[in-house]
Amino acid sequence: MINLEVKNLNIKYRTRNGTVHAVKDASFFVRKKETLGIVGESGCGKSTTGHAVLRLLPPNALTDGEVVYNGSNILKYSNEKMRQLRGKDISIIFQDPMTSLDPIMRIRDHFFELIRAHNPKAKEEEMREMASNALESVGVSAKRLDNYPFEFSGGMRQRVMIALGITLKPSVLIADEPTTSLDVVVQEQIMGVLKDLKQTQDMSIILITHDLGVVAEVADSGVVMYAGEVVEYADVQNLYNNPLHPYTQLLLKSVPNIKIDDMELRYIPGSLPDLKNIPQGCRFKDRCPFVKDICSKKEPPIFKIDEREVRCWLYDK
Amino acid sequence: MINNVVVVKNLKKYFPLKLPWLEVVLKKEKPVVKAVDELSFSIKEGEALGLVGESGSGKTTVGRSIIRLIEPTSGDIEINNTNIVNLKNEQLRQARKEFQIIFQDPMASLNPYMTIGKSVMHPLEIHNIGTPKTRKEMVLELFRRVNLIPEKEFFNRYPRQLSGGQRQRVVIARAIITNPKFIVSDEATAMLDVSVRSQVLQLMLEIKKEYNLAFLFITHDLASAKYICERIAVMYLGKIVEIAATRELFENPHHPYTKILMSSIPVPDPNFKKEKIIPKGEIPSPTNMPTGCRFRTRCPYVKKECEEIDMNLEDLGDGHLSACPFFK
Ligand SMILES: Nc1ncnc2c1ncn2[C@@H]1O[C@H](COP(=O)(O)OP(=O)(O)OP(=O)(O)O)[C@@H](O)[C@H]1O
Ligand SMILES: Nc1ncnc2c1ncn2[C@@H]1O[C@H](COP(=O)(O)OP(=O)(O)O)[C@@H](O)[C@H]1O
Ligand code: SF4
Ligand SMILES: [Mg+2]
Ligand SMILES: [Mg+2]
Repeated sequence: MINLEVKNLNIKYRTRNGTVHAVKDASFFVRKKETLGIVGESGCGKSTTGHAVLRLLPPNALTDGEVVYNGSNILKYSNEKMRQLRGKDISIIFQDPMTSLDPIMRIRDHFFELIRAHNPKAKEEEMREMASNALESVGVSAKRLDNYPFEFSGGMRQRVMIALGITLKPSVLIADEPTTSLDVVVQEQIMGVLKDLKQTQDMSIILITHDLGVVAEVADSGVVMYAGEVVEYADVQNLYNNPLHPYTQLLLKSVPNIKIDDMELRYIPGSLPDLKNIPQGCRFKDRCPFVKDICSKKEPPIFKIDEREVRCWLYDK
Repeated sequence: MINNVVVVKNLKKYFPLKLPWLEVVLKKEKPVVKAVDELSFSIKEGEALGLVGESGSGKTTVGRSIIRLIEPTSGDIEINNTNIVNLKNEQLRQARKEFQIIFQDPMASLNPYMTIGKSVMHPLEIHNIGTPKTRKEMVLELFRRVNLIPEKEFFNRYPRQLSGGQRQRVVIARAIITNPKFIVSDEATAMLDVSVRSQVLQLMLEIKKEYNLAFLFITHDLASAKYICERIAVMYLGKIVEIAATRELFENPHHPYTKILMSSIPVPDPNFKKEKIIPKGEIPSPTNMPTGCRFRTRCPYVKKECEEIDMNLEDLGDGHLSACPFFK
């Protein structure tokens, strides 16, 4: 069952030096109990996409398109309705755990504030119970509710962030690079927590990351973004075993895999195009080994092949 | 017999700990952070040794101490048959031509107001290598080598006019222009995007071969270490817990910490099902180091005796050393 669907999402940032078309025509969905991975390199629009779902973008952002949840487009909700939905139906964990907890507030007060925002009459006892359950489910002892953020390590803080994200039992959790600043051992622990939650809490997860290994490990389907566009969208089996887009193919050959001995690494020559000054045609054309005439003339549309999607002229049959 | 270029013996680096003065007065021993504690290893000509471990395990401190960017507390460091520990200013300056370091952030290590051509030429001037004319030729040739082409145009560019990957290639060029014997790379590819990271990794590998360099490759990314290094040393809280040839370490890890580290690496293959070994808790604060085995507070196999062991590296054959007496 589809839980949340993004349709033709377009986001532009107005800046002093021109308009950045940060996300162009992105569409994808996530089912109940499934994890959707959004992968791409820095600046390709992953965070912008994730934040747009909850309407958390800065004022210089222009959003267009639909985010369908429970049968309605939440981009059209009133601010008050949106406030009620945030944290309760859809919640988000931000990229930087250091800045997203208030250093002068005890951990419990972070929970209480969140719970009261949705239920002003909540009793302290009840709130403690909810907070304890959430903390314990991510492997942090409820005894630590009275601690301050500085008394936690980076990994523990990130767990607290996840606990806050799931306290109100949302049906969609958006996790923006939840482990990027952490060591692999701690990352592994947190990925385990996310996997369990998906099963036990009936949740959908949108996991944003630049790490292809993480997506392979925890996601059911994956969206690959390049320069603001979804260039490929498929279930993880197909995405990794039979990637269609030249960018996905090259990217997979550029990451060292410890399970392959004497691996030959490829790289992608050139660099990302400037989003203020998008060239005509395919956004990947200057780096693509298969570039054809049409690639520099017309922007490729999404081609559907079986259940998958790819934005590349090679699939124009 | 291939020569050892780098030989480090019993390296220690303790940082003084700032405490309220009363506590300092009352304590007999001066409190310290034992960032690096009794480390020994060597690196051969043409060999890359990987140094891996969690944040705070002491990797950067090792890399900086052994080229005396920070002063080691004690220990011996031989580079190219010279013990550099006791070298005084001018001698140390001379010796620096033989060893270089590449940092994580290329923007921070290049002068923003100097063209990259001048930046790379600078070490030649400091060490009085070549003439003004031949120096520029040397830089241009090296630019071609690290694929900064057209090299004449790149010579006059400023760091901000380059991409991250190009900047890191400039830094690599600057590190090898004096023809050093030894290079330390501290997370040199950590800030680069996947699609350009592999290009820089490959360049380091090629340069290492061509110049027959000894390489200390510091990283938290074990997959990159596997790609670059002949041998890998695993650090935990200031100690090497295991060291072995790369393939051997991956196929046959002995120390429980190495096993956990190996099983935590994400593999970009959805069909790969890994064996999970999950440690307890998190790395303790280095100011509050466990007695005995430093890993015992997190080790899934901990027993009573672990409070007493010395963490000495024991040779298990073929240069495979491990500091856990219970897993051999
Ligand atoms: N100048 C300093 N003064 C006091 N303590 C220090 C200093 N530099 C490093 N340390 C401490 O020494 C230990 C080792 O630090 P180091 O930076 O070498 O770790 P690392 O392995 O390089 O970590 P990372 O992976 O985060 O780069 C840490 O506990 C750190 O806090
Ligand atoms: N507040 C903003 N104002 C202007 N441009 C922005 C803003 N936030 C992000 N961008 C730009 O939008 C693009 C996508 O950014 P982001 O969504 O953060 O990418 P990612 O999360 O994939 O790294 C980038 O070019 C970035 O510089
Ligand atoms: S559309 Fe053309 S340039 Fe773009 S990825 Fe496909 S083949 Fe390459
Ligand atoms: Mg981001
Ligand atoms: Mg470091």
